[in-house]
Amino acid sequence: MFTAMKKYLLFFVLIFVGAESLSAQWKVGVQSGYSLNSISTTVGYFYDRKYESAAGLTVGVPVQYGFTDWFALGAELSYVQKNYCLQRSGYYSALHETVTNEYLSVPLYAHFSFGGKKLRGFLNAGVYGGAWLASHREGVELPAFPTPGPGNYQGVEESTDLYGYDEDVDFDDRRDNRIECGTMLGVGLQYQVLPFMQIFAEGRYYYSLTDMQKDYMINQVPRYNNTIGLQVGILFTVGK
Amino acid sequence: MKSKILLIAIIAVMMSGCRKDMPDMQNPRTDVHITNWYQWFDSYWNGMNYNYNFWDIDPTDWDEVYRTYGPRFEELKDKGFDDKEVNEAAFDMVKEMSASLVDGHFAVMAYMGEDTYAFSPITAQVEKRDNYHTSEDTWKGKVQSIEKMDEEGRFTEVLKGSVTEADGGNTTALAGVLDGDIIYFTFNQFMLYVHTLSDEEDAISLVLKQYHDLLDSYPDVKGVIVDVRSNGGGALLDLPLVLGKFVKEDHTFCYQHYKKGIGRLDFSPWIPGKLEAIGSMRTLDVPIVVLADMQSVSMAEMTTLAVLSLPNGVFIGERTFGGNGTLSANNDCFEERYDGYFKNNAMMAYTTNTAMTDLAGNSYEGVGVPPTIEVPYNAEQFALGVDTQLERAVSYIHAWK
Repeated sequence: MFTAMKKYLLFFVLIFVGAESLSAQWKVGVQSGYSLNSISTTVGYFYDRKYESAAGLTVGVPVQYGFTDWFALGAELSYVQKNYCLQRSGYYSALHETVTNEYLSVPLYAHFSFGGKKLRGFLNAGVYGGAWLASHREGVELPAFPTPGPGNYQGVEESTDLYGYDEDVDFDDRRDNRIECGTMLGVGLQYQVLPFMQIFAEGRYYYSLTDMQKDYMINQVPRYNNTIGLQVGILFTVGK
Repeated sequence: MKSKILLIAIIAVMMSGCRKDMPDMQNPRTDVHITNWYQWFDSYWNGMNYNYNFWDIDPTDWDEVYRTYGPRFEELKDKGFDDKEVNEAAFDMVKEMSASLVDGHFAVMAYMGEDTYAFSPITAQVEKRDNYHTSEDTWKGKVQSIEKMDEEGRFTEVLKGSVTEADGGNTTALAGVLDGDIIYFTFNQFMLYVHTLSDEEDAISLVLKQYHDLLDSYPDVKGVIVDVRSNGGGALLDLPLVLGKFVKEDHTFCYQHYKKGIGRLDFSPWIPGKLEAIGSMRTLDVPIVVLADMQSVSMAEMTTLAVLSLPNGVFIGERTFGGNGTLSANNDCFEERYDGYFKNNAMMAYTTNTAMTDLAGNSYEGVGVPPTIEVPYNAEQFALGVDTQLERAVSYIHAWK
């Protein structure tokens, strides 16, 4: 997997090596926004326990090196929450869990822009690598010893006192793959407020290529993050 | 520029193919048409792969089992189930691959026409323990010694009862006062609460009432003995009836978790298991002794752990059996916790829905709860009507050591 990634990355960089540096300049800034993550997996025959999308936060420090007025290479240090929910349905619909996963991500991308002098559209395309920093979960589960009384119930919450929890999750070295790599694609608008200051808004998609789990069992069901980011930011020109 | 964007798009499509495929999954509870041992192995191995509750602590290398036994079962796929010799050889392999599974409730069965093959790894392990004895041995000795003590006038306020249950089994219980100052309660299985559901009293509910009355009002109590030796377990709902008068409010005595996800190591949080307070007329600041032995299983072991979590609780006897999980032996219960037991037309895997630890996080699954004071089963003394484990409990209570 990683060898293939390196090949792709090298190929990707070589495409742009030939770009002429007519107006080379460095930009650095901050960005922040909303993330919406979903999990690509299967629930198999565990029919009504679904993985659902959950919202989170993203904050980053982007750095761009512009080769031309329409092309730059960018890199970031980004904190991205890649959250999800586990939700039962029907009689057990009261049972749920929201998982907050925190990642530190380093996207490397090509930045293409197009349009007028001040307002321009842009497209970011690249790859990212990152580390899974922490995990937290909160939810509601069946108690250890359910104590159903007599009666016809519409939901499990009527039959027994459910157990609520809110806890940090310890990583399991046997299971958890704390390195994540993938591709990213973003589109947005940028506006040159001042000669040295630019603001932007971007919609971004992170497509993970690494299972959240190590290969620790035969017939393993993989889990992949898919993350949408909606963010705004500001970039300052810091040098040529 | 267009060509570069096109190249990026091509790369993105190529990289999207880097994700792994999802495996095919077949619910082992479905009555699939299993016609040979290779299919049987596949259903059993995958059923355990996704539903077994102890992969975090189990020493069995289940992947190695697949690599080792998969090809051997594949060789049998043309044999069907008609050849008894083949069936026996195949089930011997099932025994080998299952021998180190740690679930103390675990048993695997293969249904081959009129023949049924069964294996319980922990039963085989318990039978190898020093001083092994059966539950029948213990009950025979208990009855003899209780009768002797009764004749000697050591037992007073005795009430015993026995009821045949709907499933044909028998529930037996006895409550009384030993040596004038120790409340004693014993019963053969945790099937007590069903006798409290009706307004009509029966032999078991009367024994329970006697036990509760003694706990509430018998004067000068020096201690309490709850005897779950060779008790095979049963209903979780019995716990407050047995110990609920020793706590003023609900009391956490263990933690349980269960599968929460398809992966072997996907679990729920550790959820506190609570002993429910049922109200008592007084606080008994006396030793609470639980007697248990190597045939004390499941709820009998949970009761032992619950007593050990009490400030005055002590466990006298032998290391228990080692099956601490809870179990619903019915495919229909699968959706409650999405794990554990499964059965189809060719097999049954009797495995629990939860795993359990004590308050310190120690798991005794497959090992058994160790006693605070070890007193081995003594067949010779039992034959003479002397219950050495019970006598040690009496001396502990009177000396509080």
